[in-house]
Amino acid sequence: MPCLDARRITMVLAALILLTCPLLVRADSAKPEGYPTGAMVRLDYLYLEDATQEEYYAGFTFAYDTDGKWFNPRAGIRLRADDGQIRAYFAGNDFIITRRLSAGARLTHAEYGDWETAINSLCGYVTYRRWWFRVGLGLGYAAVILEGPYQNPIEFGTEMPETRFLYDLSIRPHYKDFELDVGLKNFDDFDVNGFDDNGYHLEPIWHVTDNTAVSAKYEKRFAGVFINMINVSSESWTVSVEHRFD
Amino acid sequence: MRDTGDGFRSRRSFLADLAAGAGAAALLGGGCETFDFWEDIAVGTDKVTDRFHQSMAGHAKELVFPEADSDEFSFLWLSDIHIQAGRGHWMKELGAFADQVGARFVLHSGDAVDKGNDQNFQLFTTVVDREIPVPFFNAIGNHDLYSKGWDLYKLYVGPSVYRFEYATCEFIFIDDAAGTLGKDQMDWLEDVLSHISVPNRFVLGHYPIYDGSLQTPSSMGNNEERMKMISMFQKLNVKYFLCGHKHTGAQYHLRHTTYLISGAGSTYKLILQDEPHFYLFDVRGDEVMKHKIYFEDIRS
Repeated sequence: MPCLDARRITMVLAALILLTCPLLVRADSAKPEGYPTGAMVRLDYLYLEDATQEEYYAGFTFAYDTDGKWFNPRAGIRLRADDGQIRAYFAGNDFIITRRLSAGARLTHAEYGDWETAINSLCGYVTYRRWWFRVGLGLGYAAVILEGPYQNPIEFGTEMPETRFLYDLSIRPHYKDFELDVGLKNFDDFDVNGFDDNGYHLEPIWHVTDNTAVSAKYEKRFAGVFINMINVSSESWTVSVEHRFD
Repeated sequence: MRDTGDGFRSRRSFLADLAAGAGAAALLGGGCETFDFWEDIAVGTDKVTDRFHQSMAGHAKELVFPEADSDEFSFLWLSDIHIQAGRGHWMKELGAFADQVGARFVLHSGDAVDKGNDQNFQLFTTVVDREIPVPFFNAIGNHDLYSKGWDLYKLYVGPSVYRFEYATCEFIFIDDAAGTLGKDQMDWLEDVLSHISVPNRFVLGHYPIYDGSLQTPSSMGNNEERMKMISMFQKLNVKYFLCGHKHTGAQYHLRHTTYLISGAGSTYKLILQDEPHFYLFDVRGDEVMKHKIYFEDIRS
């Protein structure tokens, strides 16, 4: 069965994530300098336009960054603004391996209520940061839920399993209280995009205070990149406010 | 090794899929042209929608559709024949088989030519007129559009989006040559499917909506679009989604719709895990049966 291969990948991925657990008990687990600690909340408002919709979404993300390297949980939910219908939610953890290297694991449930389908994704990725540059690579398993209750976020049995490759090639220059995140990325906490759905993002960020930042993100995605038949597949605009509690 | 019966292996290895994906990316990218960074990326073109509107406005060769005289008939379907000057093709064998089984028409899921230039489109027209004794209908593929092929495609082949009814069947040709339908075409497709009364509904495109557990660039990528199409096909009773592009044959049943990917029906394009083939569809009223036929087996 085709899903055997995808399940095998999931098992390898899950094993890799579980293998990091013993590291939790290491004595030398203090987080390197430069990483934030404490609770963080983020509110965002998104407008998405693609072949199927022109919709507004509201999102809420909560993260708690401990002093340690290995336990930095985060979770979030995104709702359709007009009727409150769930669009996606996620739960995950960030692992701070070294000053420059981190990893993330995410369980994401993206719901397409109008079409009674959902995609449950289990993803793992590593991110390397140096100077302004950020390079991330990862692997995910996405189960498209076509039969049964599609609202179940931990249903991974499907007749339509998919392996996803994740990448993030971005730069984030900063000047005083301003940052600009620009790059190519095919995933975020709420969405894991398909192979032939690539695009760029542009996100100016203003640190209003030491603990509060406001950002506006523009993202354009394309189909047909690999065959040089580039055609816009979606556009989105997101306004976010992020606050960190000491 | 060749498939038997329905022609599909039930098990495909991860590495074979990976090779298929990588190979497809290389193969399908053949004949690419340069893109305009400002026009295509920064501004972002929606050429699919432009083609759709031109087709709807009648700015393409007018097609003549056959008229049915019985609810029982046969037709042939294949994909990716990639007609190219100086290269071989299977059209003689296909035409002879169509004649032998009394097929009423031949349907093709895109990449009729390898590059969309005047020489190839002329050759395609000549070969089809000479070898295929019945009407030949094509869904637009990415190779048909290379070398700025749309201007010639609409002149030689026809519109990018169209439909026709034949007996108990409706055939809807969509333009997903770039891996997306665009909003206007998606709305049109939903509207068309909502107003069909015949039981056997076929949608023909080029790009697969799903191409297996190792998703590759050979499948449409936008999640929303794919989920809507799968759901729409189920709700509006589409029996078959027929496509190609990947050059590797495959079959998936998703929510009561059969998604068939035809391997390349070309003499010179590499086919992974399969051999050049086409399908014979037998329609008996509400019932549709399909048979996979290998070109090698009918070669005289």
